[in-house]
Amino acid sequence: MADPTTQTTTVIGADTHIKGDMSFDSTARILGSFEGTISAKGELQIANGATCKATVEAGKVVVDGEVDGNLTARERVELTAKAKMKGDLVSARLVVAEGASFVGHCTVGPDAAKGGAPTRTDHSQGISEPKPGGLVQPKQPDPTFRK
Amino acid sequence: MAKPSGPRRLQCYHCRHRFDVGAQTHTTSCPKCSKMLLVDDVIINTLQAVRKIQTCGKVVVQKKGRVIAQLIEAHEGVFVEGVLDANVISGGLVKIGAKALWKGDCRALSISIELGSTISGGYFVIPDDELGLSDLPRGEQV
Repeated sequence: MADPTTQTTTVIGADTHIKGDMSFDSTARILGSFEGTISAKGELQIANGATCKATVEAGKVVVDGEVDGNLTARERVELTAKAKMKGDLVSARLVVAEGASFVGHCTVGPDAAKGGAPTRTDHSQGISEPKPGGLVQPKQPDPTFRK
Repeated sequence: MAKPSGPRRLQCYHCRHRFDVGAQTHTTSCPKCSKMLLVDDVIINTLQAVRKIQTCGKVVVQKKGRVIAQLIEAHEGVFVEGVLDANVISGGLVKIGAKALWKGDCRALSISIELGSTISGGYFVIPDDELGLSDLPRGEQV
């Protein structure tokens, strides 16, 4: 167990609303709402009932509330069952509990966080509900193909 | 093991019509559009490179399974322990195992991702209420 005298936790209270940039080295816990950018070496915790409309870069992120923005974690992201996440997610490791809500691009793997922000892909023709009875059309024959 | 009893509610993955079938049905045809429907679970434990996998049951990609497809639609859930390269639509839980490798988009009612999985840049919409599959029976975990 970590020695409580050496570990500092910054708590943003439930009745607190902050707009701007925040950076910290150890741990921060948001119980209220935050809007802006967060840059951290340590752990960010977004508690149940808290809202975070921010671009987040941290070592470890635990989401139990709402996040609206891109999230990059060097080590790990954890979305609990009550978490609501809207934005792109890049992390070395990801844990999502059943019941969590997540809309966005997701890149997870040991090399994911080293590469920085996720490469955006065009999803204008991305996943869509299949049309009734609509089989995928076969590809056009290759004109260079000889019988 | 006791055989399942009672009717099972399905939704046609061609025309979205809903109807009931017997609990032990393996395949059926939609009473509205008359197209064939797979009701059984699809278990993948080898390499499968296909265009589409559609079932009213579950799709399970086992540890040694590798599936490459344009679309996987499973109304009772998708469980991945191996490699999946496809766009996925699921009416139930999508479970990505600890050693799974996922490449593709995902629309599902719920998702569970275990620590250690690798996901490469797919677009996730969880939960997707527009699927219209929310009141179908959920797949059990495997």
